Amino acid sequence: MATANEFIARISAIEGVEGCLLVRDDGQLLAQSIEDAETYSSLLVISGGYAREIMLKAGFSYCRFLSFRREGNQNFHVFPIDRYFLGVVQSPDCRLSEMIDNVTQLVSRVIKGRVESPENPKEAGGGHAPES
Amino acid sequence: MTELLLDDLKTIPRVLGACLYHARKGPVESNFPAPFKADKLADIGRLLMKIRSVGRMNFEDLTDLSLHYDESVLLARELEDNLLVFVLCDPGFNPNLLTMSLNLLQQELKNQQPTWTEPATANGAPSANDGAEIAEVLAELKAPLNKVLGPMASFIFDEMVETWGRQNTSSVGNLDSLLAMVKREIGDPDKIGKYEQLIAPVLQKVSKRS
Repeated sequence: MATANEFIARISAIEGVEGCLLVRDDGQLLAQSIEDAETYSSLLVISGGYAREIMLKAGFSYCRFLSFRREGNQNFHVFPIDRYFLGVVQSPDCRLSEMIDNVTQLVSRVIKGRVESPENPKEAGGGHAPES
Repeated sequence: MTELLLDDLKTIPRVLGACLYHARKGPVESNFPAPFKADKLADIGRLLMKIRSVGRMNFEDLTDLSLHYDESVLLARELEDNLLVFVLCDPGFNPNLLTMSLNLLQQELKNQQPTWTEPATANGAPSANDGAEIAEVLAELKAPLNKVLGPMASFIFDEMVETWGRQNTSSVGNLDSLLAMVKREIGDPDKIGKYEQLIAPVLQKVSKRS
């Protein structure tokens, strides 16, 4: 089982990721590789919640991620993962689609691991992220 | 005219529809596919406005939002205060092309008087000056709330202003009902006292003007 810190380290190693954080849906920060991660926790939970609400209202099946685009191109992306939210700060000069693909791939493997795991993963409150 | 502008957006490959959403009036123009009825568009617009508000609290230089679902992407941009355009696309859309078209739409809207803007004035309806004045006053009432309610204050205040705008004509003459809502939200009498103290100079300025 990957710890939250290992998961964050792997996401941070992706080219184009400047930093990231993992938050549980109650706002608890589990791991981060950026400063001031607490300031982003509420943003992740609230915006992720609204994105899910739009999904239900519109009849979409699954929210892959949402992006806050900024003038300086240091965009911020939110990836819902079950009861968790991964926030990613993008490097201004990154190849966006490539970076998003790589993050999405890793996130999908985490989600797949959870679904396929016979013993459902233990609560992440002890600093553990979903299985990878 | 705005209908034509939205139709222009829809000619972009893989763009399925666009909607102009006003915070108080709801969807004002749309060419979304038929399954998206007005109430669904109103819900989506309202939620996108909220995501934008919470995003602006973290990023002052926020430009666009995009929500990527399995079968579709929603891209949203605030064109002016309280006015949002959101576009439904197939996931394979060209973001650069759409961004450029939104820039163009924003420019063209600036050059025309949209049909949904508040009419000016003789009958007591808000004028452009009233709009500027109320925006300034609201900003001055919002800032001190941070000291009382903490980091979520700005978001809570924006929600109350939205509710207030639906219930009243948004003008400095109707501030009492907004302030009553704010105080109810604060709850704690000590904190209410502190907030009253902080906004006293603003209210004095308002009463002198009127």
